[in-house]
Amino acid sequence: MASVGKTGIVRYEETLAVNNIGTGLIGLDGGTNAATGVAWLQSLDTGGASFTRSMSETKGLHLAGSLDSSDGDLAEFCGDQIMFYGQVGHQAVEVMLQVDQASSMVINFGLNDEITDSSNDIPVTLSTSTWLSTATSFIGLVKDFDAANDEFHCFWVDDGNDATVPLDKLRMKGLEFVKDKWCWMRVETQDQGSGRPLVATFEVVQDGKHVAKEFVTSLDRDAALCWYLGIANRAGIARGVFLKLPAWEQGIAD
Amino acid sequence: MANSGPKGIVRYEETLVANAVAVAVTGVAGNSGAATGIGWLTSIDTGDTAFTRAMSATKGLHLAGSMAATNNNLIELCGDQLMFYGQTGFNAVDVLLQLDTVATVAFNFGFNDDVIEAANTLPIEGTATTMSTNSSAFCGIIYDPNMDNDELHAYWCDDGVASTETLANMRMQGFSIVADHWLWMRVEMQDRGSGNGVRATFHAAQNGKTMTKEFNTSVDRDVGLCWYLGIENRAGLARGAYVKLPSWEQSIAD
Repeated sequence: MASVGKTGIVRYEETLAVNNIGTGLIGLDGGTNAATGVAWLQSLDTGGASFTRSMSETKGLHLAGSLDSSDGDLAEFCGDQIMFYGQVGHQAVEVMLQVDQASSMVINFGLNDEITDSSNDIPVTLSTSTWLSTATSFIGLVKDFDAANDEFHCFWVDDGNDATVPLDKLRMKGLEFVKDKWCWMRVETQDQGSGRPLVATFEVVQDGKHVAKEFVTSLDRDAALCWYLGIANRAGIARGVFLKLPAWEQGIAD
Repeated sequence: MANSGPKGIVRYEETLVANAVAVAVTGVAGNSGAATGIGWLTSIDTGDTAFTRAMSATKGLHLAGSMAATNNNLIELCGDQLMFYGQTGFNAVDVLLQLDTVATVAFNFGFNDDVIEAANTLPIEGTATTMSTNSSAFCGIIYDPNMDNDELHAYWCDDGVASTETLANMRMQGFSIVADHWLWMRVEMQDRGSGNGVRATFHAAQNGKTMTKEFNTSVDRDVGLCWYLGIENRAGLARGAYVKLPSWEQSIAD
């Protein structure tokens, strides 16, 4: 930041005090992008239940949605704008995620180049030890029960090219995913200046375990990205999906 | 919170930067609560003016409402959801309230089990040395000039059963209210575990006085409650009612 403003970073925490969630993009899954008062968008496949503000004795005010028992079904929750560029200096996204059935699913959380993806099309999957990316640019955490080691992995894609770091380096060893507990995830990028890709820090905390990893990625600093969470079924198991305190940070450049 | 997430409590402060207040149909709980952009509901009786965003040289950005010169007229501001449960661990609500005429006015502030009450009916109403409980569950601060001692009182009821604490203990002795000064009130609930009523702390500050009282209450930890402020005429005096920075806190359980 130059010499303006009281802090160098804008931080937004979505307390859910106000209802500000719309459906997906206009023309895609019946969306209402850019409606007044909307800051988040979601997209669901047939049979899924939209994320809505919900209350419970144990979770307090949170977002609750669900996936039905269809293999491949995808539930997505995104910022309503492509608003992150590495070259602003620092940026981060966070969320607390909880599911009531933690088997046979895939999770992507981080920054994606599209606000909601196509039906049944999560940006990144990991089958046994093979990455499959459908996004042009993505950086975030991937948890896939079809992977040989179904732990969290860090991953990124730039201009359609996958990360080339070995799988065992990307893997958050020992950090699996349990049901009925909040899993906190954070993905942070730092700019390295002109001509150089972003440095990224990946963090996950759940059930007493905390893993952080940091890499010099191949992601361009001018890639335009949005806050992205996608959860897809890997088998025909219905599950409830709950979110709390989605948040982001963005450095103040210029 | 268990062992996940960046911090243990979500805090929301309503700066009023966006218009998030909707008018509910009098006496109809939860009316329009799910509308996009809405976090608060307001309800009035005939002749009153609902709370709206207002500006003034002395109050800055605030909510202003007014009451007609009709005895028992009630004006309310509530959270749009029953979103507080003692068993999440920790809950708090706070508000700044100002009145331009403090004679013959009663108010309730705290946690209530209804989003909006029936016309002319505060959740708790005082007479001489008796509290009448119109709510099934309430935990908050009561002011009623119909009482022998027109000072603030801490009070609660659960399952329609009034607190059995003596009135002298619940009274904030020496703490009356004055016109044209912000009165800050805060009510906190702390969970005491299975089978126990919540512990509650009641704070008030105005015009150089501060007062705090704390009790083990009979309020069940699993009752759904909402942020509640209600102001009722006790005689035919018109008055302006002003609110600033309504806020809440909720811990992250699981």
